[in-house]
Amino acid sequence: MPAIDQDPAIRALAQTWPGRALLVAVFAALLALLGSNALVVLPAAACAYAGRYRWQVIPAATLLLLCLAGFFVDTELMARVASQEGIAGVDQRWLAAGMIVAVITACTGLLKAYGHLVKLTPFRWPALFLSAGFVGLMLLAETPIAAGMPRLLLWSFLATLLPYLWFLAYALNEAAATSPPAVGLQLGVFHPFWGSTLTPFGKSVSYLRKFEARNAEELAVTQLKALKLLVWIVLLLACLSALKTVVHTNLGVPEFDQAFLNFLAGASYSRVLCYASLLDNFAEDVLSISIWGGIIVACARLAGFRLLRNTYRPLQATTLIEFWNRYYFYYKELLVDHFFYPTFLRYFRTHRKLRMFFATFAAACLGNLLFHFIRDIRLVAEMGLSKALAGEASHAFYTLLLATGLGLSQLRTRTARTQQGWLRGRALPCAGVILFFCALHVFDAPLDREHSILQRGQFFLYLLGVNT
Amino acid sequence: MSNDVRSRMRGYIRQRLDMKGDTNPLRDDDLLFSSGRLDSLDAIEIVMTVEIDHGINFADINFDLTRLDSIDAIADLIERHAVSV
Repeated sequence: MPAIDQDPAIRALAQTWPGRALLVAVFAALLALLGSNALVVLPAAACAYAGRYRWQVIPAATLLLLCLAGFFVDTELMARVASQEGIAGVDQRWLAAGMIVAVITACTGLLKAYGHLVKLTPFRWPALFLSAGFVGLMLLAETPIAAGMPRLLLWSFLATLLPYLWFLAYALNEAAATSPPAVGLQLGVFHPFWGSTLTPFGKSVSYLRKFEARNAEELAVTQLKALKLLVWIVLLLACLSALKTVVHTNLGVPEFDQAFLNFLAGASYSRVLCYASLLDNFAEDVLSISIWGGIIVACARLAGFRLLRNTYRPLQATTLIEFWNRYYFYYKELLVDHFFYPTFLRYFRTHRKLRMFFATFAAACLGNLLFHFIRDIRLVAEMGLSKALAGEASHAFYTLLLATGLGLSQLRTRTARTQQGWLRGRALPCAGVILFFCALHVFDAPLDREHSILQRGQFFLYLLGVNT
Repeated sequence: MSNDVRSRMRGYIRQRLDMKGDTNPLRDDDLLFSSGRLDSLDAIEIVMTVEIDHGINFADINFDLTRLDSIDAIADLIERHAVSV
Protein backbone atom coordinates (compact mmCIF):
# COMPACT_ATOMS: atom_id res chain seq x y z
CA MET A 1 0.00 0.00 0.00
CA PRO A 2 1.33 3.49 -0.83
CA ALA A 3 2.46 5.22 2.36
CA ILE A 4 0.14 8.22 1.96
CA ASP A 5 0.36 8.90 5.69
CA GLN A 6 4.09 9.57 5.34
CA ASP A 7 3.88 11.94 2.38
CA PRO A 8 4.34 15.53 3.69
CA ALA A 9 2.24 17.05 0.89
CA ILE A 10 -0.70 14.70 1.49
CA ARG A 11 -0.40 15.20 5.25
CA ALA A 12 -0.55 18.94 4.76
CA LEU A 13 -3.56 18.61 2.45
CA ALA A 14 -5.37 16.44 5.01
CA GLN A 15 -5.08 19.33 7.49
CA THR A 16 -6.96 21.78 5.25
CA TRP A 17 -10.76 21.91 5.15
CA PRO A 18 -10.99 20.98 1.44
CA GLY A 19 -8.56 18.12 2.08
CA ARG A 20 -10.60 16.95 5.06
CA ALA A 21 -13.82 17.08 3.03
CA LEU A 22 -12.18 15.04 0.28
CA LEU A 23 -10.81 12.50 2.75
CA VAL A 24 -14.18 12.03 4.46
CA ALA A 25 -15.99 11.77 1.10
CA VAL A 26 -13.57 9.12 -0.19
CA PHE A 27 -13.87 7.25 3.10
CA ALA A 28 -17.69 7.30 2.83
CA ALA A 29 -17.52 6.06 -0.77
CA LEU A 30 -15.26 3.18 0.24
CA LEU A 31 -17.58 2.26 3.11
CA ALA A 32 -20.51 2.22 0.68
CA LEU A 33 -18.47 0.05 -1.68
CA LEU A 34 -17.91 -2.38 1.19
CA GLY A 35 -21.65 -2.47 1.89
CA SER A 36 -21.15 -0.79 5.25
CA ASN A 37 -23.12 2.13 6.69
CA ALA A 38 -21.46 5.20 5.14
CA LEU A 39 -23.38 7.58 7.44
CA VAL A 40 -20.99 6.71 10.26
CA VAL A 41 -18.54 9.20 8.69
CA LEU A 42 -20.76 12.04 9.98
CA PRO A 43 -20.27 11.40 13.72
CA ALA A 44 -16.70 10.29 13.04
CA ALA A 45 -15.87 13.56 11.28
CA ALA A 46 -17.72 15.54 13.97
CA CYS A 47 -15.68 13.77 16.63
CA ALA A 48 -12.40 14.24 14.77
CA TYR A 49 -12.83 17.97 14.17
CA ALA A 50 -14.62 18.86 17.42
CA GLY A 51 -11.34 19.63 19.17
CA ARG A 52 -11.86 20.00 22.90
CA TYR A 53 -15.53 19.04 22.52
CA ARG A 54 -14.60 15.58 21.22
CA TRP A 55 -15.51 13.90 24.50
CA GLN A 56 -18.96 15.46 24.41
CA VAL A 57 -19.50 14.37 20.79
CA ILE A 58 -18.68 10.71 21.46
CA PRO A 59 -21.44 9.98 24.03
CA ALA A 60 -23.95 12.02 22.02
CA ALA A 61 -23.16 10.21 18.75
CA THR A 62 -23.09 6.84 20.46
CA LEU A 63 -26.44 7.49 22.13
CA LEU A 64 -27.95 8.56 18.81
CA LEU A 65 -26.75 5.47 16.97
CA LEU A 66 -27.78 3.19 19.85
CA CYS A 67 -31.27 4.68 19.71
CA LEU A 68 -31.39 3.95 15.98
CA ALA A 69 -30.16 0.39 16.59
CA GLY A 70 -32.65 -0.23 19.40
CA PHE A 71 -29.76 -0.50 21.87
CA PHE A 72 -29.04 -3.97 20.42
CA VAL A 73 -31.68 -5.45 22.71
CA ASP A 74 -32.58 -9.02 21.78
CA THR A 75 -36.33 -8.41 21.55
CA GLU A 76 -36.89 -11.79 19.89
CA LEU A 77 -35.65 -13.48 23.04
CA MET A 78 -37.97 -11.35 25.16
CA ALA A 79 -40.93 -12.22 22.92
CA ARG A 80 -40.03 -15.90 23.06
CA VAL A 81 -39.90 -15.96 26.87
CA ALA A 82 -43.19 -14.03 27.06
CA SER A 83 -44.76 -16.60 24.77
CA GLN A 84 -43.28 -19.55 26.71
CA GLU A 85 -44.61 -18.12 29.96
CA GLY A 86 -48.03 -17.44 28.43
CA ILE A 87 -47.81 -13.73 29.17
CA ALA A 88 -49.87 -11.74 26.71
CA GLY A 89 -50.56 -8.04 26.66
CA VAL A 90 -47.03 -6.87 27.51
CA ASP A 91 -45.93 -4.27 25.00
CA GLN A 92 -42.45 -5.41 23.94
CA ARG A 93 -41.34 -1.87 23.11
CA TRP A 94 -42.22 -0.57 26.57
CA LEU A 95 -40.63 -3.59 28.18
CA ALA A 96 -37.43 -3.03 26.18
CA ALA A 97 -37.46 0.70 27.02
CA GLY A 98 -37.93 -0.07 30.71
CA MET A 99 -35.08 -2.54 30.64
CA ILE A 100 -32.77 -0.06 28.91
CA VAL A 101 -33.46 2.39 31.73
CA ALA A 102 -32.91 -0.37 34.29
CA VAL A 103 -29.59 -1.41 32.73
CA ILE A 104 -28.33 2.18 32.48
CA THR A 105 -29.33 2.77 36.11
CA ALA A 106 -27.66 -0.45 37.25
CA CYS A 107 -24.44 0.33 35.32
CA THR A 108 -24.36 3.90 36.66
CA GLY A 109 -24.92 2.76 40.24
CA LEU A 110 -22.26 0.08 39.97
CA LEU A 111 -19.70 2.43 38.43
CA LYS A 112 -20.33 5.07 41.08
CA ALA A 113 -20.13 2.60 43.95
CA TYR A 114 -17.25 0.55 42.61
CA GLY A 115 -14.53 2.64 44.22
CA HIS A 116 -15.87 1.37 47.58
CA LEU A 117 -16.99 -2.08 46.46
CA VAL A 118 -13.56 -2.97 45.10
CA LYS A 119 -12.30 -3.22 48.69
CA LEU A 120 -14.56 -6.23 49.20
CA THR A 121 -13.15 -9.54 48.00
CA PRO A 122 -16.07 -10.65 45.74
CA PHE A 123 -15.80 -7.42 43.72
CA ARG A 124 -12.03 -7.35 43.18
CA TRP A 125 -12.16 -9.21 39.90
CA PRO A 126 -14.74 -7.31 37.81
CA ALA A 127 -15.04 -9.79 34.93
CA LEU A 128 -15.53 -12.72 37.26
CA PHE A 129 -17.98 -10.84 39.44
CA LEU A 130 -19.99 -9.69 36.39
CA SER A 131 -19.94 -13.12 34.73
CA ALA A 132 -20.98 -14.82 37.96
CA GLY A 133 -23.75 -12.26 38.47
CA PHE A 134 -24.97 -12.68 34.89
CA VAL A 135 -24.99 -16.48 35.04
CA GLY A 136 -26.50 -16.32 38.53
CA LEU A 137 -29.42 -14.23 37.27
CA MET A 138 -29.89 -16.67 34.39
CA LEU A 139 -29.98 -19.59 36.83
CA LEU A 140 -32.46 -17.70 38.98
CA ALA A 141 -34.61 -17.09 35.91
CA GLU A 142 -34.63 -20.82 35.20
CA THR A 143 -35.77 -21.86 38.69
CA PRO A 144 -39.44 -22.84 39.13
CA ILE A 145 -40.09 -20.00 41.58
CA ALA A 146 -39.32 -17.47 38.84
CA ALA A 147 -42.03 -18.81 36.51
CA GLY A 148 -44.24 -16.22 34.87
CA MET A 149 -43.59 -12.49 35.03
CA PRO A 150 -40.37 -12.70 37.14
CA ARG A 151 -38.83 -14.98 34.52
CA LEU A 152 -39.78 -12.59 31.72
CA LEU A 153 -38.33 -9.63 33.61
CA LEU A 154 -35.11 -11.45 34.44
CA TRP A 155 -34.56 -12.63 30.88
CA SER A 156 -35.42 -9.19 29.53
CA PHE A 157 -32.84 -7.64 31.84
CA LEU A 158 -30.20 -10.15 30.70
CA ALA A 159 -31.07 -9.63 27.02
CA THR A 160 -30.61 -5.89 27.47
CA LEU A 161 -27.43 -6.06 29.56
CA LEU A 162 -25.63 -8.60 27.38
CA PRO A 163 -24.37 -6.22 24.63
CA TYR A 164 -22.74 -4.03 27.30
CA LEU A 165 -21.40 -6.61 29.73
CA TRP A 166 -17.73 -6.53 28.64
CA PHE A 167 -17.78 -2.75 28.22
CA LEU A 168 -18.92 -2.62 31.82
CA ALA A 169 -16.07 -4.91 32.84
CA TYR A 170 -13.55 -2.51 31.29
CA ALA A 171 -15.30 0.47 32.86
CA LEU A 172 -15.18 -1.17 36.30
CA ASN A 173 -11.44 -1.73 35.90
CA GLU A 174 -11.15 2.02 35.31
CA ALA A 175 -13.53 2.88 38.13
CA ALA A 176 -11.13 1.31 40.61
CA ALA A 177 -8.40 3.79 39.64
CA THR A 178 -7.60 6.81 41.81
CA SER A 179 -9.13 9.30 39.36
CA PRO A 180 -11.64 7.47 37.16
CA PRO A 181 -13.33 9.20 34.20
CA ALA A 182 -16.86 10.58 34.70
CA VAL A 183 -19.53 7.88 34.65
CA GLY A 184 -21.37 9.56 31.74
CA LEU A 185 -18.22 9.44 29.69
CA GLN A 186 -17.63 5.81 30.52
CA LEU A 187 -21.19 4.94 29.48
CA GLY A 188 -20.66 6.98 26.30
CA VAL A 189 -18.14 4.46 24.96
CA PHE A 190 -20.35 1.43 25.59
CA HIS A 191 -20.77 0.29 21.98
CA PRO A 192 -19.16 3.45 20.55
CA PHE A 193 -20.51 4.81 17.28
CA TRP A 194 -17.57 3.49 15.21
CA GLY A 195 -18.75 -0.06 15.91
CA SER A 196 -18.04 -3.05 18.12
CA THR A 197 -19.17 -6.55 18.71
CA LEU A 198 -19.70 -7.84 22.25
CA THR A 199 -15.94 -7.29 22.35
CA PRO A 200 -15.09 -3.64 22.92
CA PHE A 201 -12.94 -2.19 20.12
CA GLY A 202 -11.18 0.60 21.97
CA LYS A 203 -11.74 -0.91 25.42
CA SER A 204 -12.47 2.10 27.61
CA VAL A 205 -12.10 5.85 28.06
CA SER A 206 -8.55 5.62 29.45
CA TYR A 207 -7.43 3.37 26.63
CA LEU A 208 -8.99 5.65 24.01
CA ARG A 209 -7.31 8.68 25.55
CA LYS A 210 -3.94 7.03 25.07
CA PHE A 211 -4.66 6.62 21.36
CA GLU A 212 -6.29 9.99 20.78
CA ALA A 213 -4.76 12.27 18.12
CA ARG A 214 -3.40 15.26 20.04
CA ASN A 215 -2.95 17.80 17.25
CA ALA A 216 -3.84 18.47 13.61
CA GLU A 217 -0.76 16.68 12.32
CA GLU A 218 -1.47 13.51 14.33
CA LEU A 219 -5.11 13.65 13.31
CA ALA A 220 -4.19 13.89 9.62
CA VAL A 221 -1.83 10.91 9.91
CA THR A 222 -4.43 8.89 11.82
CA GLN A 223 -7.12 9.63 9.23
CA LEU A 224 -4.81 8.84 6.33
CA LYS A 225 -4.02 5.53 8.02
CA ALA A 226 -7.79 4.98 8.26
CA LEU A 227 -8.15 5.59 4.55
CA LYS A 228 -5.22 3.31 3.75
CA LEU A 229 -6.72 0.58 5.91
CA LEU A 230 -10.07 0.89 4.17
CA VAL A 231 -8.46 0.60 0.72
CA TRP A 232 -6.69 -2.52 1.96
CA ILE A 233 -10.02 -3.91 3.15
CA VAL A 234 -11.56 -3.32 -0.28
CA LEU A 235 -8.72 -5.39 -1.76
CA LEU A 236 -9.29 -8.11 0.85
CA LEU A 237 -12.99 -8.17 0.00
CA ALA A 238 -12.11 -8.64 -3.66
CA CYS A 239 -9.77 -11.49 -2.66
CA LEU A 240 -12.50 -13.10 -0.56
CA SER A 241 -14.98 -12.87 -3.40
CA ALA A 242 -12.48 -14.33 -5.90
CA LEU A 243 -11.52 -17.10 -3.48
CA LYS A 244 -15.15 -18.13 -3.02
CA THR A 245 -15.76 -18.18 -6.75
CA VAL A 246 -12.66 -20.19 -7.57
CA VAL A 247 -12.92 -22.66 -4.70
CA HIS A 248 -16.65 -23.31 -4.59
CA THR A 249 -17.86 -22.55 -8.12
CA ASN A 250 -14.88 -23.49 -10.28
CA LEU A 251 -13.26 -26.25 -8.22
CA GLY A 252 -16.44 -27.62 -6.62
CA VAL A 253 -15.02 -27.63 -3.09
CA PRO A 254 -17.88 -27.72 -0.56
CA GLU A 255 -18.30 -25.33 2.36
CA PHE A 256 -16.86 -26.89 5.50
CA ASP A 257 -20.29 -27.23 7.13
CA GLN A 258 -21.58 -29.06 4.08
CA ALA A 259 -18.61 -31.45 4.10
CA PHE A 260 -19.29 -32.20 7.77
CA LEU A 261 -23.05 -32.66 7.28
CA ASN A 262 -22.48 -34.97 4.31
CA PHE A 263 -20.12 -37.07 6.42
CA LEU A 264 -22.77 -37.41 9.11
CA ALA A 265 -25.36 -38.34 6.50
CA GLY A 266 -23.10 -41.15 5.26
CA ALA A 267 -22.35 -39.46 1.93
CA SER A 268 -18.86 -38.17 2.59
CA TYR A 269 -16.91 -36.11 0.15
CA SER A 270 -13.44 -37.43 -0.60
CA ARG A 271 -10.78 -36.67 1.98
CA VAL A 272 -9.04 -34.36 -0.45
CA LEU A 273 -12.19 -32.26 -0.80
CA CYS A 274 -12.71 -32.27 2.97
CA TYR A 275 -9.16 -31.04 3.52
CA ALA A 276 -9.66 -28.43 0.83
CA SER A 277 -12.90 -27.26 2.49
CA LEU A 278 -11.13 -27.01 5.84
CA LEU A 279 -8.25 -24.96 4.42
CA ASP A 280 -10.67 -22.79 2.46
CA ASN A 281 -12.72 -22.23 5.60
CA PHE A 282 -9.60 -21.07 7.42
CA ALA A 283 -8.69 -18.66 4.59
CA GLU A 284 -12.24 -17.28 4.35
CA ASP A 285 -12.41 -16.88 8.12
CA VAL A 286 -9.14 -14.93 8.28
CA LEU A 287 -10.22 -12.71 5.38
CA SER A 288 -13.68 -12.10 6.88
CA ILE A 289 -12.40 -11.10 10.30
CA SER A 290 -9.78 -8.85 8.66
CA ILE A 291 -12.59 -7.14 6.74
CA TRP A 292 -15.20 -6.50 9.43
CA GLY A 293 -12.68 -5.85 12.20
CA GLY A 294 -10.74 -3.55 9.90
CA ILE A 295 -13.83 -1.51 9.08
CA ILE A 296 -14.44 -0.85 12.79
CA VAL A 297 -10.82 0.17 13.37
CA ALA A 298 -10.81 2.38 10.26
CA CYS A 299 -13.93 4.21 11.49
CA ALA A 300 -12.34 4.75 14.90
CA ARG A 301 -9.24 6.13 13.19
CA LEU A 302 -11.35 8.49 11.10
CA ALA A 303 -12.77 9.74 14.41
CA GLY A 304 -9.22 10.49 15.56
CA PHE A 305 -8.19 7.40 17.54
CA ARG A 306 -5.05 5.56 16.45
CA LEU A 307 -6.44 2.15 17.35
CA LEU A 308 -4.26 -0.83 16.58
CA ARG A 309 -5.37 -3.17 13.82
CA ASN A 310 -7.70 -5.98 14.90
CA THR A 311 -6.16 -8.51 12.52
CA TYR A 312 -2.55 -7.97 11.57
CA ARG A 313 -0.66 -10.33 9.27
CA PRO A 314 -1.94 -13.53 10.93
CA LEU A 315 -0.40 -15.76 8.28
CA GLN A 316 3.07 -14.55 9.28
CA ALA A 317 2.64 -16.03 12.75
CA THR A 318 5.26 -18.66 13.48
CA THR A 319 3.85 -19.71 16.86
CA LEU A 320 0.34 -20.46 18.09
CA ILE A 321 0.48 -17.64 20.62
CA GLU A 322 1.57 -15.20 17.93
CA PHE A 323 -1.33 -16.21 15.69
CA TRP A 324 -3.75 -15.79 18.60
CA ASN A 325 -2.33 -12.34 19.12
CA ARG A 326 -2.62 -11.34 15.48
CA TYR A 327 -5.95 -12.92 14.53
CA TYR A 328 -8.56 -11.15 16.71
CA PHE A 329 -6.58 -8.63 18.73
CA TYR A 330 -9.40 -7.03 20.77
CA TYR A 331 -10.91 -10.35 21.79
CA LYS A 332 -7.48 -11.62 22.81
CA GLU A 333 -7.01 -8.36 24.77
CA LEU A 334 -10.35 -8.90 26.50
CA LEU A 335 -9.31 -12.36 27.65
CA VAL A 336 -5.85 -11.16 28.64
CA ASP A 337 -7.11 -8.08 30.51
CA HIS A 338 -9.97 -9.82 32.34
CA PHE A 339 -8.74 -13.35 32.84
CA PHE A 340 -5.02 -13.67 32.16
CA TYR A 341 -3.65 -10.75 34.18
CA PRO A 342 -5.85 -11.28 37.26
CA THR A 343 -4.84 -14.95 37.37
CA PHE A 344 -1.21 -14.27 36.53
CA LEU A 345 -0.85 -11.68 39.28
CA ARG A 346 -2.51 -13.82 41.94
CA TYR A 347 -1.52 -17.46 41.51
CA PHE A 348 1.70 -19.52 41.44
CA ARG A 349 3.91 -16.47 41.66
CA THR A 350 6.96 -18.52 42.51
CA HIS A 351 6.56 -21.08 39.70
CA ARG A 352 7.37 -19.28 36.47
CA LYS A 353 6.18 -21.92 33.98
CA LEU A 354 3.19 -23.10 35.97
CA ARG A 355 2.15 -19.51 36.52
CA MET A 356 2.27 -18.74 32.81
CA PHE A 357 0.48 -21.93 31.82
CA PHE A 358 -2.25 -21.56 34.44
CA ALA A 359 -2.95 -17.95 33.48
CA THR A 360 -3.04 -18.85 29.78
CA PHE A 361 -5.44 -21.62 30.64
CA ALA A 362 -7.66 -19.29 32.67
CA ALA A 363 -7.93 -16.94 29.68
CA ALA A 364 -8.01 -19.21 26.62
CA CYS A 365 -10.06 -22.01 28.18
CA LEU A 366 -12.18 -20.73 31.06
CA GLY A 367 -12.54 -17.11 29.93
CA ASN A 368 -13.13 -18.13 26.34
CA LEU A 369 -15.75 -20.67 27.34
CA LEU A 370 -17.47 -18.27 29.69
CA PHE A 371 -17.53 -15.52 27.07
CA HIS A 372 -19.19 -17.75 24.49
CA PHE A 373 -21.63 -19.30 26.94
CA ILE A 374 -22.76 -15.81 27.93
CA ARG A 375 -22.82 -14.66 24.29
CA ASP A 376 -25.16 -17.54 23.43
CA ILE A 377 -27.24 -17.25 26.59
CA ARG A 378 -30.40 -17.10 24.48
CA LEU A 379 -29.92 -20.83 23.81
CA VAL A 380 -30.65 -21.52 27.47
CA ALA A 381 -34.06 -19.92 27.04
CA GLU A 382 -34.60 -21.72 23.74
CA MET A 383 -33.19 -25.19 24.49
CA GLY A 384 -33.32 -25.39 28.28
CA LEU A 385 -30.30 -25.28 30.58
CA SER A 386 -29.26 -28.94 30.38
CA LYS A 387 -29.36 -29.09 26.56
CA ALA A 388 -27.56 -25.77 26.25
CA LEU A 389 -24.82 -27.03 28.58
CA ALA A 390 -24.56 -30.33 26.71
CA GLY A 391 -24.33 -28.42 23.43
CA GLU A 392 -21.35 -26.52 24.85
CA ALA A 393 -19.31 -29.74 25.21
CA SER A 394 -17.64 -29.52 21.81
CA HIS A 395 -16.76 -25.89 22.32
CA ALA A 396 -15.40 -26.74 25.77
CA PHE A 397 -13.16 -29.35 24.17
CA TYR A 398 -12.09 -26.77 21.59
CA THR A 399 -11.11 -24.27 24.28
CA LEU A 400 -9.26 -27.02 26.15
CA LEU A 401 -7.18 -27.87 23.07
CA LEU A 402 -6.66 -24.20 22.27
CA ALA A 403 -5.53 -23.35 25.79
CA THR A 404 -3.17 -26.33 25.90
CA GLY A 405 -1.68 -25.35 22.55
CA LEU A 406 -1.30 -21.71 23.53
CA GLY A 407 0.07 -22.60 26.95
CA LEU A 408 2.75 -24.85 25.47
CA SER A 409 3.50 -22.25 22.80
CA GLN A 410 4.03 -19.66 25.55
CA LEU A 411 6.45 -21.87 27.40
CA ARG A 412 8.66 -22.66 24.42
CA THR A 413 11.83 -20.63 24.31
CA ARG A 414 11.83 -18.55 21.18
CA THR A 415 14.95 -17.99 19.16
CA ALA A 416 15.38 -15.29 16.56
CA ARG A 417 13.95 -16.40 13.23
CA THR A 418 16.91 -15.12 11.30
CA GLN A 419 19.14 -17.74 12.94
CA GLN A 420 17.12 -20.61 11.50
CA GLY A 421 16.74 -19.71 7.84
CA TRP A 422 13.57 -19.19 5.84
CA LEU A 423 12.36 -22.79 5.67
CA ARG A 424 12.87 -23.78 9.33
CA GLY A 425 12.44 -20.33 10.79
CA ARG A 426 9.45 -19.16 8.78
CA ALA A 427 7.72 -21.48 6.30
CA LEU A 428 7.41 -24.66 8.37
CA PRO A 429 6.32 -22.94 11.61
CA CYS A 430 3.71 -20.89 9.68
CA ALA A 431 2.37 -24.07 8.05
CA GLY A 432 2.25 -25.78 11.44
CA VAL A 433 0.25 -22.91 12.95
CA ILE A 434 -2.26 -22.98 10.08
CA LEU A 435 -2.68 -26.75 10.34
CA PHE A 436 -3.26 -26.53 14.10
CA PHE A 437 -6.02 -23.95 13.74
CA CYS A 438 -7.57 -25.82 10.81
CA ALA A 439 -7.70 -29.01 12.88
CA LEU A 440 -9.08 -27.10 15.83
CA HIS A 441 -11.89 -25.71 13.70
CA VAL A 442 -13.41 -29.19 13.34
CA PHE A 443 -14.48 -28.80 16.98
CA ASP A 444 -15.64 -25.20 16.68
CA ALA A 445 -17.56 -24.92 13.43
CA PRO A 446 -20.56 -22.58 13.25
CA LEU A 447 -22.88 -25.56 13.70
CA ASP A 448 -21.51 -25.58 17.24
CA ARG A 449 -24.46 -26.51 19.44
CA GLU A 450 -26.16 -28.87 17.01
CA HIS A 451 -23.62 -31.66 16.84
CA SER A 452 -21.90 -33.66 19.51
CA ILE A 453 -18.24 -33.85 20.27
CA LEU A 454 -18.40 -37.54 19.26
CA GLN A 455 -19.67 -36.70 15.76
CA ARG A 456 -16.95 -34.10 15.34
CA GLY A 457 -14.36 -36.55 16.64
CA GLN A 458 -15.49 -39.12 14.07
CA PHE A 459 -15.14 -36.55 11.29
CA PHE A 460 -11.69 -35.64 12.56
CA LEU A 461 -10.65 -39.27 12.47
CA TYR A 462 -12.05 -39.57 8.95
CA LEU A 463 -9.80 -36.69 7.92
CA LEU A 464 -6.86 -38.57 9.42
CA GLY A 465 -7.73 -41.63 7.35
CA VAL A 466 -9.45 -43.63 10.10
CA ASN A 467 -12.91 -44.94 9.28
CA THR A 468 -15.09 -45.41 12.37
CA MET B 1 20.64 2.28 40.15
CA SER B 2 18.53 4.06 37.56
CA ASN B 3 21.08 3.88 34.75
CA ASP B 4 21.71 0.23 35.41
CA VAL B 5 17.98 -0.53 35.35
CA ARG B 6 17.51 1.43 32.15
CA SER B 7 20.41 -0.28 30.48
CA ARG B 8 19.15 -3.76 31.38
CA MET B 9 15.58 -3.01 30.36
CA ARG B 10 16.78 -1.43 27.12
CA GLY B 11 18.70 -4.58 26.26
CA TYR B 12 15.79 -6.80 27.20
CA ILE B 13 13.22 -4.81 25.22
CA ARG B 14 15.57 -4.50 22.25
CA GLN B 15 15.77 -8.29 22.23
CA ARG B 16 11.98 -8.65 22.21
CA LEU B 17 11.62 -6.08 19.44
CA ASP B 18 14.27 -7.87 17.37
CA MET B 19 12.31 -11.11 17.72
CA LYS B 20 9.34 -9.32 16.19
CA GLY B 21 11.45 -8.00 13.33
CA ASP B 22 11.25 -4.42 14.71
CA THR B 23 14.68 -2.91 14.08
CA ASN B 24 13.63 0.73 14.50
CA PRO B 25 15.63 2.77 17.03
CA LEU B 26 14.54 2.55 20.66
CA ARG B 27 14.60 5.59 22.94
CA ASP B 28 13.86 5.58 26.65
CA ASP B 29 10.70 7.65 26.22
CA ASP B 30 9.35 5.68 23.23
CA LEU B 31 5.90 4.25 23.91
CA LEU B 32 6.05 0.48 23.83
CA PHE B 33 2.48 -0.72 24.24
CA SER B 34 0.44 2.34 23.18
CA SER B 35 2.39 2.36 19.93
CA GLY B 36 1.78 -1.32 19.29
CA ARG B 37 5.50 -2.18 19.23
CA LEU B 38 5.00 -4.57 22.14
CA ASP B 39 1.82 -6.39 23.12
CA SER B 40 0.24 -7.72 26.26
CA LEU B 41 2.15 -10.97 25.98
CA ASP B 42 5.42 -9.05 25.99
CA ALA B 43 4.12 -7.22 29.05
CA ILE B 44 3.90 -10.50 30.91
CA GLU B 45 7.55 -11.24 30.19
CA ILE B 46 8.50 -7.77 31.42
CA VAL B 47 6.37 -8.20 34.56
CA MET B 48 8.07 -11.48 35.36
CA THR B 49 11.51 -10.03 34.78
CA VAL B 50 10.78 -7.02 37.01
CA GLU B 51 9.22 -9.22 39.71
CA ILE B 52 12.17 -11.60 39.78
CA ASP B 53 14.94 -9.02 39.48
CA HIS B 54 13.46 -6.34 41.75
CA GLY B 55 11.08 -8.18 44.07
CA ILE B 56 8.05 -6.15 43.04
CA ASN B 57 4.65 -7.78 43.51
CA PHE B 58 2.39 -6.35 40.81
CA ALA B 59 -0.68 -7.66 42.61
CA ASP B 60 0.15 -5.24 45.45
CA ILE B 61 0.73 -2.15 43.36
CA ASN B 62 -2.45 -2.16 41.25
CA PHE B 63 -1.18 -3.45 37.93
CA ASP B 64 -1.66 -1.10 35.01
CA LEU B 65 0.01 -1.53 31.62
CA THR B 66 0.61 2.21 31.30
CA ARG B 67 3.20 1.86 34.07
CA LEU B 68 5.30 -0.24 31.71
CA ASP B 69 4.71 1.82 28.58
CA SER B 70 8.29 3.06 28.15
CA ILE B 71 11.74 2.35 29.50
CA ASP B 72 11.43 5.57 31.53
CA ALA B 73 8.11 4.39 33.00
CA ILE B 74 9.54 0.98 33.90
CA ALA B 75 12.60 2.55 35.52
CA ASP B 76 10.34 4.90 37.47
CA LEU B 77 8.15 2.03 38.65
CA ILE B 78 11.18 0.05 39.76
CA GLU B 79 12.63 3.01 41.64
CA ARG B 80 9.37 3.55 43.51
CA HIS B 81 8.61 -0.04 44.42
CA ALA B 82 11.78 -2.11 44.32
CA VAL B 83 12.63 -4.12 47.42
CA SER B 84 15.89 -5.86 48.21
CA VAL B 85 16.04 -9.37 46.80
